[in-house]
Formats: sequence, C-alpha cells, structure tokens
Amino acid sequence: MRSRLLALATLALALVLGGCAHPIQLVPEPTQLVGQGGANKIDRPVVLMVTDAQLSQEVVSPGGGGDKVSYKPYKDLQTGMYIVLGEVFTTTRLANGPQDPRIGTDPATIVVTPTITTTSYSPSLFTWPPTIFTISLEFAFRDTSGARTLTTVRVQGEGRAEFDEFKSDFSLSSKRAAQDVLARMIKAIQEQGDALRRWSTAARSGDGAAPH
Amino acid sequence: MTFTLPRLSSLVLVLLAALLYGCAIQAPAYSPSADAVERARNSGIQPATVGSFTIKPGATGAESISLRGNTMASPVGGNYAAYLAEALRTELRLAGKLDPQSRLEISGRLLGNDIAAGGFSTNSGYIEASFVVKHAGQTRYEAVKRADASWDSSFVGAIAIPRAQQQYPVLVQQLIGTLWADPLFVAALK
Repeated sequence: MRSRLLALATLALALVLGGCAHPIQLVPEPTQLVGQGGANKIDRPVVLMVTDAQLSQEVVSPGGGGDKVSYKPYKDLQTGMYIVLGEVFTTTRLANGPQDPRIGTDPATIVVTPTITTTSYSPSLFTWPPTIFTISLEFAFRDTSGARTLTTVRVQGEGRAEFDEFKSDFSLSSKRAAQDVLARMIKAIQEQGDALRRWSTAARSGDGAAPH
Repeated sequence: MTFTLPRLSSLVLVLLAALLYGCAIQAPAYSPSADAVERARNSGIQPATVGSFTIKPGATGAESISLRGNTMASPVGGNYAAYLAEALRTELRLAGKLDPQSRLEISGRLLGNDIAAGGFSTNSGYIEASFVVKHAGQTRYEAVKRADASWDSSFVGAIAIPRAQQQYPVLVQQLIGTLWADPLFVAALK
C-alpha cells in the first residue's frame, strides 16, 4: 500500500511538473568583462541594436530528467553585449530598432545586430538543471541604413556545472556559458578591428569603395 | 543494487525535495540593465564613491527573505543593505563613474524589502531605501525611494521559487532606476 502511494505521488509530481519549464538565467558577471579589451580601442561609434521582440523572446530547451528550462537570452545577455562593445569601441550606444534616433546620422557609425542560439543538456534522471550549456553569439556589423553588412563575427561559449556546484545556483552552467561567450567575443571583434576601422574611415569620407 | 519502482520513486522524491525545498538559497548576483549603464554613462555626473549602507532597525527582510519556506540570503555582505550598496557600486563601475577616492559619496539605509512567493498565479515584491549624496561631508541630496513589482507565478514551487528569486535583482534595478530618473539626484552628483 505504502509503495503504491509513493508511486502515485511520483506520478502526480511528474504530472504537475510535466509541461512546466524551470526558469534559469544567462546573466554573466559584467564587471569581470571590464578591462578585457585593453586600451587600444576602435575610435568609432557603435550601436547595439536589440529589439523589444528579442528582449521578450523566451526560449525553452532540455534540462535533466525529461524536464525543460526556460530563459530570455537577449534580455539576459544585453548588458554583457553592451559591455563587450564598450571594451572594443570608444563610443557605445543602445537602440531598439532601425528607426531608433539613437543610431544617429554619422555615416561612420557601426550598427551591431546580435543573433543568439543556445543548447542545453543534462544526463541526469533526477535533477533538472542543465549540466552543459552552450551559447552561440553572432554579431552582424552593418552600416546605419542596415543595407550593408560589413562583417559578421561568430563565437561559441560553453558552461558546465555538476550537482555539487549547481545545487545553490540552478543557472550555473548557463551563466558560465554567458561569461565564456562574451569574453570570446571581445577577442573575436578585436581581430576584425583593422577592417572595421578602415570601413568606418572610408564611410566618413564618403568613399564608396569602402572595404568589406 | 536493484531499484524497484517504489524505491526509485522514493529516491526521486527525496532528491527532489532536497533539491527544491527547504534549502538556503541566494539572491542572484546583481547585474544592471544596459539602459541603466548607458543612462549613468551619459548623465554627466562626476565619479563617486559608495559609502555605508545600513539597515533600519526592524526592517522587513533585511537579513533574509522567505520564499515558500526557502531562505534567500544576500550573496554579498550577509544582508540586503550590502547587496544594495554593491549593486550601486557595480552600476557606477560599469558606467565608468566609480572612484573610491572621490569626495562625492552615495550612502543609504535599507528600510525594507520582501517578496511574497506564496501566490499560485501572481507574486509580488518591494524594496524601499533612503539615499544620501554628500560632497566633502556636506549633504546635497536626501530622498526615500521605493520599487514594487509583480510577476506571473505558478502552483509548482520548482517554478515559482526560482522565478521569485530572479525577481530580486530586478527590484533593485528598478529602485536604482528611480535614482537616475530623479534630476535632483543627478544634479547632486555633478
């Protein structure tokens, strides 16, 4: 009788939890990104454009034990992406769409539109927090009209966390992935620094033959 | 060792109970919104230091907040006044406006904060604090600020508790946002 009750309780719990996604976060510690870009910044204005639709977008992906996790990648990573650009460029602004006046009229301004994709996984049968989380972050660098893509930079970050670690922070693997991908993005943009400087200089002087 | 279904079920329940309930949890570390960092960068304020943040005697939730039987503690300083001070420090640092040697100092007192996580459909929370800006010891600004928020919740604790936990830094973001929106606060830091 007792074992039957336990089985029923487990089934009830599974039914209650089934279909629910556990909320986690992809928020990095942005202060740890400060200083990673060094002193040699690109002396051009850059605008990070994240739309309201992206900020409210919720993603559901697998956790452990057949459960799912949910999160808002653009909302959670927006501050980190803004800090990343501030580590590489001298002037950084935010915009929430192509018509946002904060983009301005300076032809040398570079507009960055991010694309985020994620994966999550846990081999555990009993615990739902992901033990492995990956984030792919792509920055498309465009002119202010959005018509021309200057370059695209794509990096991937990974975070891992085991039960002993994540039992006090269920978002640990995703936070580690966020920290990793943003640190990688700083280096990846710096590798494109010369090309971005050349394009921006040419755009400001009205040279239509600006390098791609 | 062979697990029969009931034994496995018991194990699942015990593990779930251990994982989800009755645990001491921490509020997430503070991360400001990008808008807040940009607003602080463009505010024209002078770099400032963050002084002491105290707790009003008897303030609700100053040491810990209960979320359906889980005790949520501050990850810094052992209380939420320290959390608030660190949040302000983080925001100023990211905006390039933090200078521990500055004669401009922001200090404060936590008057109370709490999160009601027991609701099955919605939950709510608040934080209230007083802030003081001094320049070389002279008070330039003094005000009480408060932020309130409500959010969708769930009957299931495994959903409702993390969701409530994640709302705490959002409340603090909103509270600090009321400071940046106050022209007298910004003027006091110029």
